[in-house]
Formats: sequence, structure tokens, C-alpha cells
Amino acid sequence: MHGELSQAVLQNVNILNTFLLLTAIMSVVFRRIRSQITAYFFQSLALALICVQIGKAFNNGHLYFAAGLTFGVKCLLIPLFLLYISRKTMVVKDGEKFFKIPTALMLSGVLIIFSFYILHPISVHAGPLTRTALNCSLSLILIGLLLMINRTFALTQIIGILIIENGLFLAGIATTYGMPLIVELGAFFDVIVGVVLMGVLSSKISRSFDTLDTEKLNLLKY
Amino acid sequence: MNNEILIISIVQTLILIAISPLISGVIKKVKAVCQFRQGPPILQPYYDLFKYLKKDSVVSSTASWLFLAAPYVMVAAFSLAAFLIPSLSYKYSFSSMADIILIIYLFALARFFLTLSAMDTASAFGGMASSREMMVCSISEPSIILCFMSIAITQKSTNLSNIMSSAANVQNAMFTAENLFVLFALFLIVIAETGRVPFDNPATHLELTMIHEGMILEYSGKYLAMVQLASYIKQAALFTLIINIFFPYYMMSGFTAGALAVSASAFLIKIIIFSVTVGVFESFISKSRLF
Repeated sequence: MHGELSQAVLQNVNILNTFLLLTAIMSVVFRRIRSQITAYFFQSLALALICVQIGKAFNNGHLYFAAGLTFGVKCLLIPLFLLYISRKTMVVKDGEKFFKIPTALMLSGVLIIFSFYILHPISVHAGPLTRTALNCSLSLILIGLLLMINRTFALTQIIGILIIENGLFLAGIATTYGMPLIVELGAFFDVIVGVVLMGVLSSKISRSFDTLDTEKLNLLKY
Repeated sequence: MNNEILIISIVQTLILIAISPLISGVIKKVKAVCQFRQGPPILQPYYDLFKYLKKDSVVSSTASWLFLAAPYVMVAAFSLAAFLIPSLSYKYSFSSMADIILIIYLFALARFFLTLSAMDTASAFGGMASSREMMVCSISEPSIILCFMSIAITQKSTNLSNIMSSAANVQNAMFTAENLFVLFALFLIVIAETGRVPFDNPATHLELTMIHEGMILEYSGKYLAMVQLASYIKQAALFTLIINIFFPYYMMSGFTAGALAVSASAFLIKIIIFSVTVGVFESFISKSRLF
């Protein structure tokens, strides 16, 4: 199966994988919520293009459908919804909780190295396409977690969970070369419902308590 | 064979030095177009250089011999780097000498003399700019070494000719995740090394932000022309390093006039595309606050 994979496809998928990781690192660096949403838009676009590339390489029609869904849901629907929420709650900038941005940047590099290291026993047996994509997907998951832990505002934490979801989706298509359609539909439905719920919840929070800062919400306990 | 290597090496050095001011002109023009201005003509850096050569040079009475020697050292170091970097052909170059580490430290040598000469006249701007330059360099130099070592590990050589030939002949040699990250990192390092926008602004002489302009403030006449030419050659050499390591397409394979013409025009096109990319990148980003 890996033998027939053409070099051009491999090269394109490698470039797109790198772009995915790069946008994830950018979202660790950016503080403005609009830049975060733009980075997420480009990340999802790269993911959709990876779907198209793999679908073309393995003649899998499902993957074209998945690419279309990725574009429709993750490039249009979710970014627009997040923009709408950010305008409604008037959040512009975000704060850090534990690490300053340069430290977080270093840490995301460490996480990438860690995920390459920890996946090494698996990736020596995998094909060339799966190898890079699997490494990138674990890195994406860890960086998304870092983003969720390190930021104070709820909207950036939503972006963090979306990056994790992108990582999982990448791992899914890179190891199976096309999941059954029903699984993909379920995953997308999950994301949409999750984002809508979180968005509505955060706009409710901001209306009730006048802030989206999770640090301040912790004070409500006392 | 040895004669051929010598001829091609000299030809590619002369081409690199000749087009180096053009790169600056292209970048200025692209920035002007992005800002909806007409901008100076593309050949303006050449006019400037010839104008400087015609002018008298004024040297401060407190300056030592170092101040006059530094421009010669800089031009010599960067020309040697341009001589060693294969720009048209990796086959016909002094490959046994063209080691990456040597080239990085040739750049460091020139930078050392530039900062010394800036402090030599004891002007406040010179000292300030040198300390800033050293700060930027202390960050960019380890990262440039790290980048090239990462390439050297994947290509199993620190020799530029070997790296370029394996990048050109092995499919997908440079388009793996590791090397693409190196490409992005090198792009940022080149921006920092050539004193471009997020780190330094080549277009202003504002004392609060200037780095490179602050160091060459005391130079005039033919010394200024040499310092400017040295910085143009450095820029061209760094651009050549990136485009020939990552995109070694249409480089010279045989010793014929046709092959030379093809590789020279391909090199020109590649380097102009890269300059346009740098100009566009510079237009869409704001200067970061370093100090």
C-alpha cells in the first residue's frame, strides 16, 4: 500500500503537516483572539487539503466528502461563530496563566520533540506518510492542551480544544486512510455541538459575570 | 577540471556581487508597491553606490586605523563567503572548502569588525547600535548553527556542495517536516541577519530603533560605499544559501556556455522571487519592540 504512494503526494502532505504544526505554534504565540481564529482557519484549511491529497492517493471518495465537511465546518462555520461570540463578549486580548509567551513557545518545541521521541517505536514500523502525520497529530494534541492550560480566557480555551480535535482527526485519516462515513459525520456533529455549547455558555458567563477570565471565575467559589 | 572549477567559481562570485544591490532595489520596490507608493527605481542602490564613490570621505580625527580597515575586511569576508557558496553550480565549486561553519564564521568576522569600527569613533549611536547588533547576533548565531546542523544531520554532510547535490538528486530530501521547519526558521534568521522589519528597519535613521544604520553612521564616501556593498553581498549570500539548499533546481551540471546561461537565469529568477517574498513579508508585519 505504501509502495504505490507517489513522491509528490508525500511531499505535499509533509508540507501541509508542517503547516499544521506551524499554525498550532502560532496560536501559542498570538494574544489577540482574531489572530487565533485566523490561525485556526488556516490550520483547518491545511487539514482539508491533506484529506484531498490522501483521498486522491488512495482513490477514496469518502475523504473528498470529509474534506468538504472540514472546509465547511472548521473553516467557515466555527471561525465565524467564534468571531461572533468574541464580538458579543468584546474579548480582544488574552492573558497567560503559568508561562509567559516566550516560555510557552519553548515549551511547545519541547512538546514536539517529546511527541517525536515517544512515537519513535511506532513510527519506525509505519509508512512514510503515517510517520510524519502521526508525530504531528500528537504534537497538535499536546500543544492544544498547553494552550488550554496556559490561557485565562474561555475563548482561547475553546481554540485549544479545537486544535486537539484537529490533531485527532489528522491521526484518524493518516492511520486509516479514510474512516467510515458515519464515524466522520459523528465526529463533526460532536465538534459543532461542542463549540456551540461552549460558545453559548461563554457568552452567558460573560453576560452574568461581566468577564470571560477563568481566573476570576475561580473566585466565585469563596 | 581544476581550471573549470576556478572559472565557474569566479563567474558565480562576480554574478552574485553584481546582482546583490539589485536585490535590495527589488525589495524596496515591492515594499513601495505594497504601500501604494511609486518608490525609487529598482536600480537605485547602484546609483547610490556610484555616487558614494565620487564623494569625499570624512574621517573623525579620533578614529584609529581600525575604522579605515573595517570596510576592507567586511568586503573581503563577504566576497570570500560569496566565492565559497555555490550559486550556479554545486559541481564546479571549491567543495572541499565550502563548509557551512566556515561561512557562518566569515559572517561573524565581518560583524566583529563592523561593531568594533562603530565603537571606534566613540559616538553614542555607534556604541548603542553595536551593543544591539551583538544582542541580535547572540540570538541569531546559535539558531543559524542549529539550523545548519539539523540539515547536516539529515543530509549527512556539513559540506555545501554535498548538501545541495543530495537535495537536488534525492527525491523529497528537503521536504520532510524537520527540514521544512528549518526553512521557516532560516527565513526568520535571514530577516534578522539582514536587518529587516520585525527586528530592524533599514529605511529609517530613527535613533531609538536603528541597528545597522547606527553602526555605519560615521562612514562616508568610498568607505560608506564599501560598507553598503558588503551588506548587500551578505544579503545576497544568505538568500543564495536558502534558495540553493531548499530549491536546487536548474543548477549547472555540465561545463558548457548553454548550461551556464540556463543556471544563471534560473538563479536570477529564484533570487528575485525570494526577494519579492521577503518584501511582501516585510510589508505585512510590524516592527517588534526589542529595546
